[in-house]
Amino acid sequence: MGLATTVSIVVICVMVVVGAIGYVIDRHASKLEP
Amino acid sequence: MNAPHLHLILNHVPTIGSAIALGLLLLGLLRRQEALTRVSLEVFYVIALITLPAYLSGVATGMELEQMPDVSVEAIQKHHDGALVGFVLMLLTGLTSWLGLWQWRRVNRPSGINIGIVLVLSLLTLTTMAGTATMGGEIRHPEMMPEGSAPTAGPTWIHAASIQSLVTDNTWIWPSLEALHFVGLWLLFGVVLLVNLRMLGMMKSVPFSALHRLLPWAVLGLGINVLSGMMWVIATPEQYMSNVSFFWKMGFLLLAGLNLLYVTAFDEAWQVGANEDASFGNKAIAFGALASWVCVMYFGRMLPFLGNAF
Amino acid sequence: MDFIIQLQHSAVMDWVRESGSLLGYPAILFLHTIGLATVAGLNGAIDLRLLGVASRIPLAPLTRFFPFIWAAFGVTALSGVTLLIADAETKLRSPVFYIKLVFIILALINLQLLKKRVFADPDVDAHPVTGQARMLALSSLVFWVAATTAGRLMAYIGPVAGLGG
Repeated sequence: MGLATTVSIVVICVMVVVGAIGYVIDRHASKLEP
Repeated sequence: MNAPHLHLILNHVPTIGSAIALGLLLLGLLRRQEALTRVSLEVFYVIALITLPAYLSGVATGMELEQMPDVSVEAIQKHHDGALVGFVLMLLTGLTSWLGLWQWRRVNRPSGINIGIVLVLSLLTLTTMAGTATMGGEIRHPEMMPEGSAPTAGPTWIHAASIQSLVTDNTWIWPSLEALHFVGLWLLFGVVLLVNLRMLGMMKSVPFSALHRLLPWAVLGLGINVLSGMMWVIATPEQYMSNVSFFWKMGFLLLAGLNLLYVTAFDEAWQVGANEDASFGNKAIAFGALASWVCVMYFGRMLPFLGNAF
Repeated sequence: MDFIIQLQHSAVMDWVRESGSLLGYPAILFLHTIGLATVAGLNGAIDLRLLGVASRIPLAPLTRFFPFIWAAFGVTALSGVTLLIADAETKLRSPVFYIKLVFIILALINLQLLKKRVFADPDVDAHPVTGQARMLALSSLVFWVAATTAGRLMAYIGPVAGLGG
């Protein structure tokens, strides 16, 4: 696999995980706040 | 003041400091005094911040000591490995404390689960730091080891040297870290801009508390950057340890980190309401925060030019 | 293209590239970084809001930032053009560079669409964020992450010059 492909896959995977974590935190805050 | 001197001063923070913070937390829980518990979370956070220069000064010290005769390189590496584990645990403790403070600010009550996790993490951190500190002592103080005793065993499952080989052997890792570091920086800076520009008077109709909700995303961006930064330092410490630009970058990062605590937890920030002008103090702090983050980016960008990186 | 390469060898560009002054190449790189951090950062934060994060932030006041974003883009574009000219022979032959430009253009078109289709509505806060707005917010984030990645990969793929950073 070329460098560009590998790097792109890594970046996509990490950003999806980061986005998911951020989303979960925000959803949790929504539930707690009136 | 040189690196070993700085390290000998700072290493007291993750060790003794953690113990005091844990003591504060337990005292706050036992006496059911929420203010005390809340303060202990803030102390954990600040200790985590200071653990960064404590770790980095250790790396610089190790590089110097390895050159000296009669010093065991193996003892230094063991201590470094322990310090790495302790540092990660300390960062996790600080992160969890921050999250707890963020939520506490928003809903006006502590999270039991969060405090429980901070307790567990801080105990793990303290235990690791104690072992690491002992290993640090064994580098240059044979008098603390009684006759016939074995040196303290280092962590078996993580080694700074292995991480270093991993990064240098797999050429896709470094560029991936770069891409992630730049995404992390704009993720962080976007929220930093919104929050601080509000203090400086933009979007006055919006209460600060609404923007406060975005702070975890700033921390996520910062987290990506701290992790990618650590990987680089572990892989090629010599590029950073004598780099004056790196030193300044870390300095401004600490300042910015303190500001993050302020906007997350302090009343003066939280209480800036809809259509309210922030106080002069808040405006000055907001300006300082923006300047700090810009300086972090400046000295980061200047690493190859002001220092000797790359 | 020849014109750009001629500029590359002008006295000004020689100074930017070779003087070693902090006010030359390093300063241009720094401005480029601050610019992109502002553009992608503010746009990204707006995208997150459109995707439902921090929903207590009203959408209407966010339009105040559009001129800010465009001003920051001006800084990024100017510094970018300077960086391009300083190393034109290499960069103009780099496919990754063109990929980066494509993603930036897509992100900017995306931003304009958000302005025209979402933020132009005076009652934007009166109803839930539309599906179209959420799609545009997601694509915006994807384009900026892609542009950032392509930008960094320029130092590793295709013809690479000896210029640091």
